[in-house]
Amino acid sequence: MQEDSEILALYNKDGGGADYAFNLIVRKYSERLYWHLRELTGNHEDANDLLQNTLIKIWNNLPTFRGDSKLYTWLYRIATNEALTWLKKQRFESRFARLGFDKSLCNKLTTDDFFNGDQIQLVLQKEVMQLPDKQRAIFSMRYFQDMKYEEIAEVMESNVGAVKTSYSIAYNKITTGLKNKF
Amino acid sequence: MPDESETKGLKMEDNKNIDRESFENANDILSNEHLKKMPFKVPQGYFESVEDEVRTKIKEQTPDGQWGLLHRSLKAYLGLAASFLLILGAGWGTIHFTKYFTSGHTLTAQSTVDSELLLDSLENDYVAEQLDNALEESSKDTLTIRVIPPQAEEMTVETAVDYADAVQEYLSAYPSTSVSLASLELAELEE
Repeated sequence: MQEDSEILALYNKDGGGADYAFNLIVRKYSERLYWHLRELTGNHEDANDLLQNTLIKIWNNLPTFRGDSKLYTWLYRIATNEALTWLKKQRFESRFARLGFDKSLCNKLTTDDFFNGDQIQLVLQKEVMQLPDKQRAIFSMRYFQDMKYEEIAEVMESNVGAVKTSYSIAYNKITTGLKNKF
Repeated sequence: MPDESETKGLKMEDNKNIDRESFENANDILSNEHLKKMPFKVPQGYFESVEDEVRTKIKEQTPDGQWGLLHRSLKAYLGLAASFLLILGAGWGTIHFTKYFTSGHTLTAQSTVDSELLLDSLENDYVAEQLDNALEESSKDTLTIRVIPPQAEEMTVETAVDYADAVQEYLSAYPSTSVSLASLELAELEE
């Protein structure tokens, strides 16, 4: 698998380098971005839609990528912002619904044909679903994707201290939630 | 699968992957590696199909099916220009506002990202409820919305600006095109 610097060098090369470089980005990162989006949406259909939108945005915005951040964190930032925007819209549109948005996300998890886990994993996922959106994104990147705080801070355009605080709050909430359920 | 109300009192015997002893004695439940595994699967061949699917969609978004570098560059830079126009106040969808304390100071929003994260963890539902009520009750096109956030008297200037930004962010998602926000007051709590 090519290094990000090699991919970017290919992208800036004349004569069709852009298409090939984009293909490499898709092959290298689409699965990781998918799992990140899956964690935020809780179901395959929405995660797939967001992944497609993310990849299209990446293609459209590659000309303006200046290398101020790492390619990897830039890709995650696009995906995360895509998910957060979607979540905000869904939350707003369901504000008069009988079930709150968080509860409907949890219900989607329960009925998802592609959920492959056991009872405790389901409970964990439901606890994660009830976190505020940005906190959930941070928790997902740290806990499930094992990203460094510095990388998460770049993705969230924040600082390491705030990311650590947010993660710590989420971690404690979920731990308490799990203990209460069993 | 049980719904959420039935998950209380779940028996560990139902769970083959973590035994009761490990669970109960663990100081840190989440450190268990089993919980870090992603409990989802995807349709067969899904990841192999992503590349083709996105290429098809990208081709569809250009008028003549070509996706030359010049076209994409123009689109990216025009997008940036449009964002600036929106901020400067062009178009019906723009929210134009000033934020000030009751003492009369005028502040320009300078949101700090770490405060956004903290606000996310705080009481945005409270903001939403207040704004929903104000917008529903008003028949005017231009509103002055008075929001009294919790702990308003303890707010620093910076936190107040971030709170106002959270309000703006909420309003920017509001579907109505007939309402424009004239001003947003962050008032001290009345006695």
